[in-house]
Amino acid sequence: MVPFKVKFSPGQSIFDQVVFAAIKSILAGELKAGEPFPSVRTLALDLKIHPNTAHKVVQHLGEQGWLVVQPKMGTVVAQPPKARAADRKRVLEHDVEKLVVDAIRVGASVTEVKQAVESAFIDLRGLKAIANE
Amino acid sequence: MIIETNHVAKRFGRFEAIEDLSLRVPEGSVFALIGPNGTGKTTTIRMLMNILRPDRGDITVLGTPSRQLAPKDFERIGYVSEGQKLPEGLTLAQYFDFLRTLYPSWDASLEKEMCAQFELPPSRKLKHLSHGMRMKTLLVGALAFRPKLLVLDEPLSGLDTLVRDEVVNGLLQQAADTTILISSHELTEIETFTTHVAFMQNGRLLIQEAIETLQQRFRAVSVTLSAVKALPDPLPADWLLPQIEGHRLRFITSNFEGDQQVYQQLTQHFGAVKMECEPMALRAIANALMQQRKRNLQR
Repeated sequence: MVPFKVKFSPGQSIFDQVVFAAIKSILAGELKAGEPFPSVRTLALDLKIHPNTAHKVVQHLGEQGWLVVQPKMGTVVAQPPKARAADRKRVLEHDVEKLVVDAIRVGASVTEVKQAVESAFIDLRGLKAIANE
Repeated sequence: MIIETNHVAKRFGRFEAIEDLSLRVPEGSVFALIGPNGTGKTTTIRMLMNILRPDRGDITVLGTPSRQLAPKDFERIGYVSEGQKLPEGLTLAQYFDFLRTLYPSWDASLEKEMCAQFELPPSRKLKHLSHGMRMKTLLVGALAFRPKLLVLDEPLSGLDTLVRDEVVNGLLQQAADTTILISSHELTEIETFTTHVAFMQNGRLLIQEAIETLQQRFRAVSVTLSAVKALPDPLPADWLLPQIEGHRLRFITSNFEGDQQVYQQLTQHFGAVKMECEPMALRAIANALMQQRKRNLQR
């Protein structure tokens, strides 16, 4: 069984959505380091995605350091890779700017955006607390 | 290309069933041929399988012109359609014994595995199978020889959700090694694993494209205008179905390259605006294209 949920939304690539869901569940602590990651076959059948897409997802997560292949265990979740300074900069500057531009365009205020960001943080942390119990 | 057709046309009496159809099915794709009932999907597939002869145009399947497709070629092509004739008096086991002799590449262990997975009763006669079991039997028969190309004409219609799920799983297990052409009047069940899609309407192809690029370039745009103004004339070529009413404007862009680009296009004509670009489900894209085509025909 695939230990995370993907609710596919239109207009985004299936690959991106599955990768995002996997990373989110690792960061939220639902999938812990050392736990087995679902096989390509399981991913494809459970999420109803093309096996080639499932293969690409596993390969990509491996390349990015989210998964490692362990002898006899197969593919397992790695310790979350250390963030590079460049990634941090990209998120805090470019991605935030993009969020702000979008927010202005749809008429959301600073307070609304702050609240939304905070509650997203809390949601993810909350998942971690539940998963650790 | 696994399948290629060029300017194919077919008429039945006075009825023009297919007009100017040029399909490209790339290797390794799961290619969905989508359109309402009676739009020419089955006719298209029958021409691909050399059951019908096109009036005009040419078709190649696995590199062979369709009119020259011989039994040898069909050892690499699996074909499943709803109305397929079966030797009804045979039991399932006898039927598979028979198929095994026809295909040199028949994989008996895959046959066993799928029969078990589908819970098919080996001693039952084909004429006593339910519709769902019949479709599953056809699918085993088409997959067990590991074809290079699998052609499925409406494999899911008339099946209940549980059986659909089983059939989809059966397909997914083979999808990595096979090119699959699947026709359907709806996308829902197959949308997540389809790689390419073609929409047909009234015997014509509206569009065929990789799903990734299709989803990238279509957006539903809703705009609030600061000043009431008429639509630009001429309309930008990539706008579909524009609707304007007071301060509200809605349209679909078929050439989306980012919010910024749409925003600039809008402000140039309308001045200050507030806008949102929403990604669209394939069904919504298909509907938009069909409606736009109707509008164009009315003009």
